[in-house]
Amino acid sequence: MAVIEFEHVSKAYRLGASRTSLRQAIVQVPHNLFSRNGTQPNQQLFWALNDVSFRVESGEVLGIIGPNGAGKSTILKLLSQVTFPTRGHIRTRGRLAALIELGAGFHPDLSGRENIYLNGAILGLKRWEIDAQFSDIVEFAGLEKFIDTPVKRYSSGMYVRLAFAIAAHIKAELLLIDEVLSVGDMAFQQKCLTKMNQLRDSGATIVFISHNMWSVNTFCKRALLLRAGQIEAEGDPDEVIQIYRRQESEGLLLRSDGAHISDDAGSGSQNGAHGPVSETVITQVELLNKAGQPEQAFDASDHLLIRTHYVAPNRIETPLFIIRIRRADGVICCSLTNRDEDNFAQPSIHGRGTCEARIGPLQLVPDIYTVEAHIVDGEQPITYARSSRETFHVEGHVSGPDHAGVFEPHVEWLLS
Amino acid sequence: MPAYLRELLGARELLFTWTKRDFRVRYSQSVLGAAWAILQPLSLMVIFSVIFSMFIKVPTDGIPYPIFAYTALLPWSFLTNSLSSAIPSLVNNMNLVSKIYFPREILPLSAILVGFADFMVASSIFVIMLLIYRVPLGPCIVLLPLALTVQIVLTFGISLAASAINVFYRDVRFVIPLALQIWMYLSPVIYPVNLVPEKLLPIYFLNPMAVLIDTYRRVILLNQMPDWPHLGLAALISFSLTIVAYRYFKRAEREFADLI
Repeated sequence: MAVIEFEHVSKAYRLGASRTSLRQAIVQVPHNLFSRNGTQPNQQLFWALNDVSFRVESGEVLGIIGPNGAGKSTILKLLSQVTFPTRGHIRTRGRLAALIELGAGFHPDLSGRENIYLNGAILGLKRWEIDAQFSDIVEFAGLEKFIDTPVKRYSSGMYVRLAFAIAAHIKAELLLIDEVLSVGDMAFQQKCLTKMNQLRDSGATIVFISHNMWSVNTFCKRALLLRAGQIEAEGDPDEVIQIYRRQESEGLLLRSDGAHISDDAGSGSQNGAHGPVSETVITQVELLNKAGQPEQAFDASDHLLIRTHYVAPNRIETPLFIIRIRRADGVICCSLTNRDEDNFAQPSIHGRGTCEARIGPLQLVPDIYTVEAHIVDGEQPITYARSSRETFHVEGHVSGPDHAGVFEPHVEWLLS
Repeated sequence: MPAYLRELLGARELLFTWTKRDFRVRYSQSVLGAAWAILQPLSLMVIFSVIFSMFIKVPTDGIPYPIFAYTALLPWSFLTNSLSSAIPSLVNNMNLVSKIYFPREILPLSAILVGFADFMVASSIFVIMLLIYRVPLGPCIVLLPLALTVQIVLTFGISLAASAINVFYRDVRFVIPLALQIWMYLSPVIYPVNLVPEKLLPIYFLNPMAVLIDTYRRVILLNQMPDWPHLGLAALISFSLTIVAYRYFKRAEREFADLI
């Protein structure tokens, strides 16, 4: 029996300043009467969801992934009846507990204790039912010392611990969990996943939004990829995650090929000269595979050849090349320079040239990476040129807790 | 019974919890605490007595001005306090409204219940005053709860409509104090009904509070039956207003969370 039925749901929000003052509204009336096209100028609509349909059966765990702004939180808000669809139909069955954004319906002036009762009451529990679970909730959240302090003084981690503790203990049939869990520390996230497993085993239905691909993969039986308000993929979490990753890396590539991105790190990242002629410029950074062909998708055992093309109008006596590989979430996986032990025997550079760095085997975990190439001075802290546009991704299946590990060396196992 | 009434009934636990919390917050945050509930109508009564029986002599048919005024000030304070806290209640609790689902009418309703609690506290002084002024109470006083019920329904209706409108047009709450002031002068709070010119009486009594205040005075101070036709009209206005306002509220509710 379906616990959630989402049928052709669309949700539109009005963009622009909303009519928040009577004074404005009164002034608008003659304006509307006399203007040609009747509608106010700021009546554009933003469709957060566009004809979305899906079902969730009882006992299922559904993961929803997608880039920011895809509409994931909107789905949760619609499910918990905080807001209503512009078009379409939503049906849910059973008691519902939701953790949406930070806050989950806490009143800031009340203490944790009072909020537990308030939230419990909102979620439909009787006082004696809350009494029975009270100490379990406080213990799970680890907030014994702070339970009588107003929640406005809680840190975001404490907030989410309390919110999750309440949601997990109210015996809800349907649990909606937004990506807020990422606010908690690793220990807490682990605790939450364990608890959610227990809830799932006891028959609860869970809808889980996360950016943590590993938890989506291990925890969910089915996943939905949402992008720009529409479902792009649905099915086995592993497959959906792969589709998502592929799309993301293609998206990154598209963005880096096209117009110059404003958040680019360096000055030397434009193709072709845009700056004063006397500046050193990295004209191109090529990513090549072992055979010397341009490549963007690699395996952990592949070799990567990074060829940096530069133009140095002025001679640089003591140049140093730095190659950095930065993972999609910002972690710098390695920073390689061509300075060798006895302080570089790098000859000076002048004019056009290339610098090649052969890295291999990559031994990086599957993810999307950006290559940063810098030309700096070997003796003084001067940066001559920078480029950080080229990206590549390492393919493979996510095999461990999210981003635990940057590096995947070759390993051989021996059992005796 | 429409679905939303059933829902409200199901959420009564929340209503009590919220009201209790509201009540505690009110009383714990002010130094005067419970005394404020009494102080407000009482101090108004003192001031009005000084001005309207000493400076301007308002004829009250032999009834001492203080008790004359207090009989009206008590329910009037109930009305104004309830509306003043009920109307902004949705906007003030927007963080809850936008994150979690519950029947939103609990917020203004709870404010009215707290106002009612204040009213009961202030009534204690009223009982003392009745004794001091040796007001001869008669059987007509049993009709008092009837009038009170009509007032509560009226208050609820106004709160539903105004609190919802306040979400869309935030400056509504600035209009409220002025509107209440004007309303008070349009009701026989400071002056008796017989000062109103005859020909204006039909229009005058379209104001439900005018009828109710008059009713309070009749049943308490004069042991007279209420003016049934006008009371019936006031009840009709109050109930229909509330029904319409509730429907509007439930429809507008869908958009609350979209508008923070």
